[in-house]
Amino acid sequence: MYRPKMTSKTKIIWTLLIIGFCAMEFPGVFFFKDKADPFIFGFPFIYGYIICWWVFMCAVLFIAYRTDWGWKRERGEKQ
Amino acid sequence: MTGQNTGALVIIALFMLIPLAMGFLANKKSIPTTEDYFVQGRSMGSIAVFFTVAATWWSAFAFMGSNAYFLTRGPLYWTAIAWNILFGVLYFVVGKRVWHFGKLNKYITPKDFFKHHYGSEALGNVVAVIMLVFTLPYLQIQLSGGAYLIEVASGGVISFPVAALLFYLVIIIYVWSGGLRAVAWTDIFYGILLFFGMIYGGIYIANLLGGPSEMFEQIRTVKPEHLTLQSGAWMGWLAMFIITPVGSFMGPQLWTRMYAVKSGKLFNLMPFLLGFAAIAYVGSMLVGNSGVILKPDIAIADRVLPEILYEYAPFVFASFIIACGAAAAMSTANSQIHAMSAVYTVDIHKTYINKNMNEKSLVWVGRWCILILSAIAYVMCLYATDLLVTIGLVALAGTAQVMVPTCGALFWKRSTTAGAISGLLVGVGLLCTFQFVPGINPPGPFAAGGGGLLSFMCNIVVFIVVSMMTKQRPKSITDEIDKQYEEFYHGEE
Repeated sequence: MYRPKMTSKTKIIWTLLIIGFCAMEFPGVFFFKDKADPFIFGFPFIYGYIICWWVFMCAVLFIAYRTDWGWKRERGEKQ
Repeated sequence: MTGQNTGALVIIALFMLIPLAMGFLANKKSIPTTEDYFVQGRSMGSIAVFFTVAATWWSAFAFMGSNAYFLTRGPLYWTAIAWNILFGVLYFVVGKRVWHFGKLNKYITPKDFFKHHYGSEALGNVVAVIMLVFTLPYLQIQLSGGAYLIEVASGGVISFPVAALLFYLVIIIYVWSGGLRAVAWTDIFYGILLFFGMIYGGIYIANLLGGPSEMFEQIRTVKPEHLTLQSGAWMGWLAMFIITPVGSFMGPQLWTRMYAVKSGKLFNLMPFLLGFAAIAYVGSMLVGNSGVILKPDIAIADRVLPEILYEYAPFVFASFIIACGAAAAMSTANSQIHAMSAVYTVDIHKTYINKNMNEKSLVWVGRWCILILSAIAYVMCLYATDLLVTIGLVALAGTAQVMVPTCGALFWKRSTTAGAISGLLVGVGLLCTFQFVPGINPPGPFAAGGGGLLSFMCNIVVFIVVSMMTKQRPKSITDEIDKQYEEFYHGEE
């Protein structure tokens, strides 16, 4: 299927997103599942930990939007 | 019924009348064609798209079911923050492509996409049936959620069946009147209510216990295990992270919201907007955890929010938050009924029952379909006793199966019709077996809430293996898709 080559910005965005998803899904549930302390932002550890990653992911997604997800779109010209 | 109960019901009724008026206004703008009625003539603007997607995505499952999960299972539902972000990312990666092909080829229903990409009517029919069957239980939980709210608000005077019936009637009246335009307009109103209602309701209830930190300290004293994930929760955590967004994204109501978008640029922004909005779950988290202290012996966990509010908050404020909950249920139910009627009308009625029907008559078939499908969901909600989230997860695991052939069509040239149909049949078959055959449970770690995830994984394996062993899609199809993909990467958005 036709697919242009990814730009390095696109690769960085996707790498950061994958890191974020992995951090939200795996460490909390496998390594910190019995930890209530330390409280973060007044919440037990697992809640505060996920909120920190939520901030990270929102920042990445906003940058992704601002950079057109890393694509250099040149109308009418193939990349 | 006390004066306060009456006042509460009047406030909720007012919130239901506003969208009704919007439905009638939308009807004045509509044109009697299936394209206008079902996908708003592909002209939906950015604000309407964001709110209608968010309000459709957030349902009674999120507004009420989440509270019950935080109350009964601790932080397990907190994986929702990640799955909301995943949902947004799917909307960009898959949704934008589906929108592009839908616009070029004038798709109206999900079946149109599969018929075109695989050249197979049979695959399209399998997808249509899966969507109709598995969206019904999800519709049912919206009616149940709305009915719980009205029942509690009336102090129990309006019984659950009558409350569900009232809810059902309002939904069909305005979906009947205005098609997708009515649904989208009302969703803007509902989406705003929902977002602020969730957050403010949670903060208010936590403050009854001295604020979030103090509330959690009290839980540490009475039930410390509630602050951490329960043993073996990891499977449920991971399964919900994958199945919930994928299943919801593959519901017919979200397909409609991909086709209806006017500009492709919006898809780039949606992951951020939807991910950011996930913070509203802090509200549900505070409500559910406060329930551990305020309502430790509640009989029906899904009713924790309205019961706490009507016991501890001024009734006007409580009714306002309850109206937000009704908005969550209503905004999803209306979209589901509307999209299911599109699937039946275009994919089944027009194709197999009356091929020569004119556009105006088809819109009427869609309206009657709305009436009948909602009636089925109403009857189902009278007999269901599980938690809203539990029923919702089965429904989502069913529609999630459709993601496999969708991604196959978009990203893998080697995917075949035989692979897609076999994968779907295996996935749905396994899911139904785990759910409905007594004594058969998912093996190993999947037994702890991973049945839907296991059936989804088996679907992927069968899809790949069968596709590798069967004849590729006709070259004419793959060439045409390639050509349209070039436009996707280099054309105007």
